[in-house]
Amino acid sequence: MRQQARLGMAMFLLSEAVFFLMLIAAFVYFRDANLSAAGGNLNLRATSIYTVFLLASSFTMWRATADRRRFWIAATAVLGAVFLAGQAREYWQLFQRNVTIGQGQFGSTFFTLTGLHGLHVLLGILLLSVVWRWHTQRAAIEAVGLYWQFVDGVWIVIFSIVYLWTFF
Amino acid sequence: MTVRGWLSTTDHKKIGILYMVTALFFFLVGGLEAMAMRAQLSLPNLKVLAPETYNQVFTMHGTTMIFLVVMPVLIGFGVYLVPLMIGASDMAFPRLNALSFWLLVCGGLLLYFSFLAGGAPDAGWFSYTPLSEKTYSPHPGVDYWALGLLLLGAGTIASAINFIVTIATLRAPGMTIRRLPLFVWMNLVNSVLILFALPALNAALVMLLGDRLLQAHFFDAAHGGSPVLWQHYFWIFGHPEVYIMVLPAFGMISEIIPVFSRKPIFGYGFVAASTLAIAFLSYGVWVHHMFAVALGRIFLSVFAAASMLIAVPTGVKIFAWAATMVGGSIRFTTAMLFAVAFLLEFTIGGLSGVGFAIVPIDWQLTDTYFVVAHFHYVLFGGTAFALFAGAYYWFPKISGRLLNEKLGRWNFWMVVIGFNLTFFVQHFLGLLGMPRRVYTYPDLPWWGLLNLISTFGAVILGLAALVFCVNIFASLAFGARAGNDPWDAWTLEWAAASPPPADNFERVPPVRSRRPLWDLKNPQAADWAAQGGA
Repeated sequence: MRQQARLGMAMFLLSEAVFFLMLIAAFVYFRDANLSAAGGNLNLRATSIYTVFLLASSFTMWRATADRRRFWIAATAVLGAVFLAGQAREYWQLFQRNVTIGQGQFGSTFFTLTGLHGLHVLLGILLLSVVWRWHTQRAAIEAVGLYWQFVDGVWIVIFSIVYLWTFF
Repeated sequence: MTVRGWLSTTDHKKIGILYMVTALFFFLVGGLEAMAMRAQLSLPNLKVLAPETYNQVFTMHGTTMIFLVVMPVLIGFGVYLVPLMIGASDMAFPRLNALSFWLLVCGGLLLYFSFLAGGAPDAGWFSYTPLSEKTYSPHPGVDYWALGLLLLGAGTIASAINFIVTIATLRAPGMTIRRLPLFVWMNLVNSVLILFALPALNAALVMLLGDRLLQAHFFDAAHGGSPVLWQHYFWIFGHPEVYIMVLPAFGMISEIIPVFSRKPIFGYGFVAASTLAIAFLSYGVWVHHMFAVALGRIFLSVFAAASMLIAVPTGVKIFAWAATMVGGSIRFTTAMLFAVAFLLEFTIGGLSGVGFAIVPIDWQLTDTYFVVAHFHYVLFGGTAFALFAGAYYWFPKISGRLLNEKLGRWNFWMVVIGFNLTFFVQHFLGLLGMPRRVYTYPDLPWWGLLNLISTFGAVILGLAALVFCVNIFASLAFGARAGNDPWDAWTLEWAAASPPPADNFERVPPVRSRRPLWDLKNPQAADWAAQGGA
């Protein structure tokens, strides 16, 4: 049962990895044309701060899978929510400057990539809520834990390519 | 069983049957679409279908046959047979299994709802940009196409996960990876292919929907987008997809030919390993769909070489199946007839495929009827022939009754004659320069005659499909009782009752070789004894 849940989730994440790989490839494909737009619109400092919250949630998720205490599950969800709030704030500021998904190539690739990642974080928070409320089964928490660490890992790649590569 | 029972079932056998029935329904729908096209093309300058309608019909025919017929029916056979063949009582995730099926239903409904919502998709089954962009395809057909395919893709990925976990964790004691029935092997490799291929399509679909619904600019050149990017993404999915549609069929052939030749498969290891080679290479050949795009000579050479290379592991399989028959005492049941015909028809499609790997030949023939002939020899001559073989072979297990052999002969010969009449002449039409996806053609020498022959063949093929349906319904009512093991076969599904009870086996026979039922029936000549327990 535990083995099945873990293997099933791992296979699902493999398919998710291909999905994100294609979106990241599209961003890189248009990167040169968009470099000035990216440099002019991205806020490295703010994003770095909310990235730290997401990274911290990897630690709390690890604790949650280890001892299955509700505190760590809730802490992970809260840290994820802070990350999403940071992302929402960034989107809002971009909209103020009329940078949207329909506004040039940069908007298309940036919002599609980071937006779909954000949806994955949101789904992760929903899964955590389910585990927090109904399940303390080991298999369930472990599967959600795998998912959460994967989504964090994808963000590290996205942050490196979309933000760090633009500025350094 | 009640309607509610069918709607809420999580039994892999019921879900497998639902898949197969759904696929048969859509096979008839997609077949009618093909008939409409052949009617329009039967003579030069006809006006049976308006050009706009013709575009919708060929788009829906391709999309239906691939996503609502071939993939579901292969998954259906897998869902039904894999747990039985490995001695399990169900899939690893029964409810996920049901979800996969219902996503298929929803995707199919969404796709066909487009007819009521302002027009079906009309940009071809691969929906090339910019044709599929809002500017050139303003009605919502392509949106329904993309949304429907997203649902179907999600369901297919869920099935693949389910197969992998089932095969990894639920095998009967003794069923090592090297003793797996080849049908199960092919389903395992196929599931890995699905895991890597379908998400590429999903990503492309999300981007296309972004372009169409949110004014993003991934694929429209007018705003700096790249139509070629869509082609890359689509074929990174699309070429592995070709193998996704044929590997389980290879698996069926690998079960059927040995049983009706009364010999174990020749070169089990080679058949299994060549499948891995095909899976690996299938990700390195997608550009052969894009040889007519100016991509640069090195690009073309690399992908041409890879495309030729992938013919090798496929050829290995053909030889293994042929060698299995050599010296066997062959029983020409309808299932075996279809399996042998599969070898011949599929080889024709394979050979014209190798031809396309040669870039100048591709340049000459791309977008002509030669391509249509080629892939129908692979998908119909290959997959559909194997599916007919599989239907005649496993129907007794699924229903408890044998399909009628006499109707089966009619079915077989009508399919062979109808199929070859329809598609063989299309090779010549392609060589004469007739383009695909054009709703009519001028009265050029030979074009009218060859098209008329093709349409005549399609009518025979359509009647053959009806004979098959009649055979199913008549045999369900009046067919001879099959018993557990009508073919004297060797894999575990034939140890269960026909049809199997809810939990499949009272007791799973011991698995000590690749042919556990042979060992059970012939203890004096058991495989495991002969092979020293291997």
